[in-house]
Amino acid sequence: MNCLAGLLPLTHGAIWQDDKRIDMTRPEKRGFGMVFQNYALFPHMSIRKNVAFGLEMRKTPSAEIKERVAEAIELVHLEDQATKLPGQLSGGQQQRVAIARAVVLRPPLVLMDEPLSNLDAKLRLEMRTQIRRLHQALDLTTVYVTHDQEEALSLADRLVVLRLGRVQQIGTPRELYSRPANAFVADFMGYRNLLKAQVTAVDGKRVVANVSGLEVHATAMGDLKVGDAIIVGVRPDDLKVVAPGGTSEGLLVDGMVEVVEYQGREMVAEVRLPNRLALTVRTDQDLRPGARISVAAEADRTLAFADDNTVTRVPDLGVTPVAVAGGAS
Amino acid sequence: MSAGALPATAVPAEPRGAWRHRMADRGIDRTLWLLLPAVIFVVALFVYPFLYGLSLSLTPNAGDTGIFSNYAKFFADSYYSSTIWLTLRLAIPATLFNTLASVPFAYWMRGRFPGKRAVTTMLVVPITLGTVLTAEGLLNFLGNAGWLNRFLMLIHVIDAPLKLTYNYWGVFLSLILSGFPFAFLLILSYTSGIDPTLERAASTLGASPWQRFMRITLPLLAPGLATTFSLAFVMAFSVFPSAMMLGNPHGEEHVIAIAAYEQAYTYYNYNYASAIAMVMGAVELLVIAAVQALRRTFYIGTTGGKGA
Repeated sequence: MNCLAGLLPLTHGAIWQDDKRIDMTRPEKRGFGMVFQNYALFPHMSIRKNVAFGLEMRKTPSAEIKERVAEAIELVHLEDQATKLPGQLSGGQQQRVAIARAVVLRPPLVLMDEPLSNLDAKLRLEMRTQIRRLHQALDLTTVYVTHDQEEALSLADRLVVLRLGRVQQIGTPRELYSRPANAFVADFMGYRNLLKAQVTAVDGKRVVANVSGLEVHATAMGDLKVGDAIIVGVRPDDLKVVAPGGTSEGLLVDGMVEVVEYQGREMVAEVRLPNRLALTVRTDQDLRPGARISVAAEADRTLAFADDNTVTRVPDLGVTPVAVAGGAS
Repeated sequence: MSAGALPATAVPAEPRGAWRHRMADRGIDRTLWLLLPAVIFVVALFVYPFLYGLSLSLTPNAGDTGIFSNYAKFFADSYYSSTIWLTLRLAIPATLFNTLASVPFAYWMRGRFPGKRAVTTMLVVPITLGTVLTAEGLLNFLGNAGWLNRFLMLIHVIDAPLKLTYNYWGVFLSLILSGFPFAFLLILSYTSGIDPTLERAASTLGASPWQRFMRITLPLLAPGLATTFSLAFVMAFSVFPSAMMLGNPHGEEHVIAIAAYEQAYTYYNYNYASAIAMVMGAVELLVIAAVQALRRTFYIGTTGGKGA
């Protein structure tokens, strides 16, 4: 992100904008709009002055500045706050000023560096919708960095998942959600149950896997052979609580409910299996800690990834999924 | 007194401690006693001497009349009243130089870089040496047969030694040598208090380095500059040892502190000396008030970064 904006030099490679190489261009010459995580509003200037700053630097005629600044402030619904200083605004309002300040220049590219991470959960949802609406209205190409799966899925036209600086997968949100390329992407896309296993049989796209003694039928993502170390991934939503003695063509296991989190419409339960592993299940059934239940998942919804040592359940260390909301370009 | 008598005498009083509770709501409670040592210190070492000096200054000497006779004498005698101008002539340029020259240094040093500690130490050492040692060093360095003149003559930049001691320039240079580290340290803490992402944001908005400095950093630094100027000015205005050693203390560098010293310890006229000290304080207050009034026209508030 900082490299794109020109604030950090590249260690290797090059950046091209259409057919112009720009990685040696100074940030002030690139003309990209950037929204910073901490907003970086100028504390000594009014909201209007903040938004006008970029246009003033470009020596835009003052009549035009006035018009475009008013337009941008209206776009983020801050007409009443235009003469205030940033310190007098709430976090959400400040973030809207930062967005107005970036888009008022009509830049060829807008860079957003985790713009919502400093906001509380409710405001984050509101701002997400606003950003999506702005993006649809202005049609500006935007690179948006986030660690939040929901943000990435809801905002992006194209998603790039990066891990330690390496691209893991590029695709539409739908592609990444339904067919993650590897266990790491699956982890980011909400496959909370990721279990180490071994392939015991292969039949076309279907594999039979041994998960610490438990036999699971799963769908292979990529080429797998008998004996391969794999990771089996299931979403909590795809696990169903079934009557004891039921059958399933994918995964079926008995276990004991250990932890239950009430989430309104549904419950999320952690179920301890006989082989000491734990599964996270999302269900609308009323579960109690200590209850013995059976859990099942369809083979189509149970994915098997090659275990390429992208150790699962690594917390966000160095992980930077990028959402690219593609506009006109 | 028997227990039976109590109900008759008991009036419906406030419950015990209610008064204390009300005072605590207004911020008055026993922790205020912790202020006592500081209050004693300030009263004993500042308020009392100040008031004593004020009363001395208002006491006429034998043969004079009127409580302002000492002040009248000061302003009537041009040898004394000119000390205000002679001191300002030294203190204001030196303070301006120290404050403004600190800005580029502090601006450049606000980030992390290898050797930062060494550079800071070098810049700060003069402050630890004290003014007398600095003045002596300068005397040797700047004198007619000092290193500087000898070097300049050696490389034929000059033919005759520059006169840099026992005049204005000697005192001025000494004020800079001892005042600069002080101003630099203060300004450095102000510059590192400014959030560095502000400048990065300005650069993505198209501001050149010069525009970033003028439009973002300088306005945010202005209150710090005013404070630094005020503090550095007070230090420079009370210049004494360097004026004695490096200047001409009975001529062009007859600064106000020397005037007060003369009256107190040469003529033993404490009353007159106190009046001079009061004038000195008043001039300092006037300059500081002017600077702070100027500062009010700038933005005052958070600068976003650490220590803001």
